[in-house]
Amino acid sequence: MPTLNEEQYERVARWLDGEKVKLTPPEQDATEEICRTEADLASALDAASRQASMDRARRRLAAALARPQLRLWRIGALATAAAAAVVLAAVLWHPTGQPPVTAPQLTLQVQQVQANGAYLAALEYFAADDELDMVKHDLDDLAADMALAAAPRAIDLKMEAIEKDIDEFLFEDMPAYPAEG
Amino acid sequence: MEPQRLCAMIAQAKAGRAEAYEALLEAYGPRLYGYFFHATHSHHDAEDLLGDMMLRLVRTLKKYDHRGRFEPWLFRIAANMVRDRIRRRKVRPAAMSLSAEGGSGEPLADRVAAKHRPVDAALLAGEASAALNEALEKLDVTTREMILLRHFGQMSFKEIGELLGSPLGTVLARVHRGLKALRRIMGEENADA
Repeated sequence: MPTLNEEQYERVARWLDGEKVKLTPPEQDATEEICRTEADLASALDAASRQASMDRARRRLAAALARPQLRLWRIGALATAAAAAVVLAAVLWHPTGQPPVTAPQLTLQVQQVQANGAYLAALEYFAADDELDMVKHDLDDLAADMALAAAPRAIDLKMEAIEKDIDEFLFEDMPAYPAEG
Repeated sequence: MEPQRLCAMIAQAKAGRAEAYEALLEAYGPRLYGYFFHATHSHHDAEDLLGDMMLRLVRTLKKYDHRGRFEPWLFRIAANMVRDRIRRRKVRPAAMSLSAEGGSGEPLADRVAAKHRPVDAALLAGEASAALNEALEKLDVTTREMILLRHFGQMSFKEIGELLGSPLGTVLARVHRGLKALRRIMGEENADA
């Protein structure tokens, strides 16, 4: 089994990194051994992946990416609602001593209210389609996860059986102690 | 992932396209998961770290300048997350319970009951992976990190040396010794079985 010094290892490392380096026979032997062991271990290293974990990561990613859009939608809806409230208050509320709203002003304000109403309706339409579907999908996933977590799993049943065995082993021949007092 | 497709995916992800992030997860998720699992010896930690990694990717990809290679950048973040996780675990060791995972990433209850396991269960898929995981645990942290970054991050020895602050020759010497140790430990375990 080849043993190299620091300088020789550096040359082998450069060769393995793709540089054109002329290797001595012991360096070639070490290179071959490293490559062979890496290849032998590759399949065992790659066997760790689990589909369920990938699915959870995918859901977390989707939720994280959906969050800024939802936040923007909420800010937009709140701003619109606030503007609509201000306009409505201006139309409907007349403090004592102030002149009433004139006809042209009223027409303009009614038009603004109508425009805001149309905008809100459009927002509601789009939100109902995409964003709420995504939220509903996340909630469904969460409910499914919770349902799975609540159901007795094989590991839980196995643990119960082990705990029962331990209890039986510990308490089987336990002497009866008199009660205190 | 092919370089041109990777370049396009990164550009789209930077523009906030969800499909691009999903494509990156498809391409690198299994490798990242494998790295996290063998570095922490826990499926639970690996799953948690993979989710955290994707969230971090969403936050940091905008800063990434795609001139070099993507994998070293990605696995540098992953390596820092693992170190942080291990550091926190040392500061705040988890309480051991029967449902907790042991060194092999297997729940302790399963390991306790292992002697009574039916013969055919030994043929379950992933047995070799579990044996390798146990063998990796016997290596020192730095050597293990080097071997895992080499395999999962497909990093060159030069990149690993830069990341860990080690000279090139030292990196390969440690990797070589580590690989020989893994081969020896796994050989002994196979002989015992």
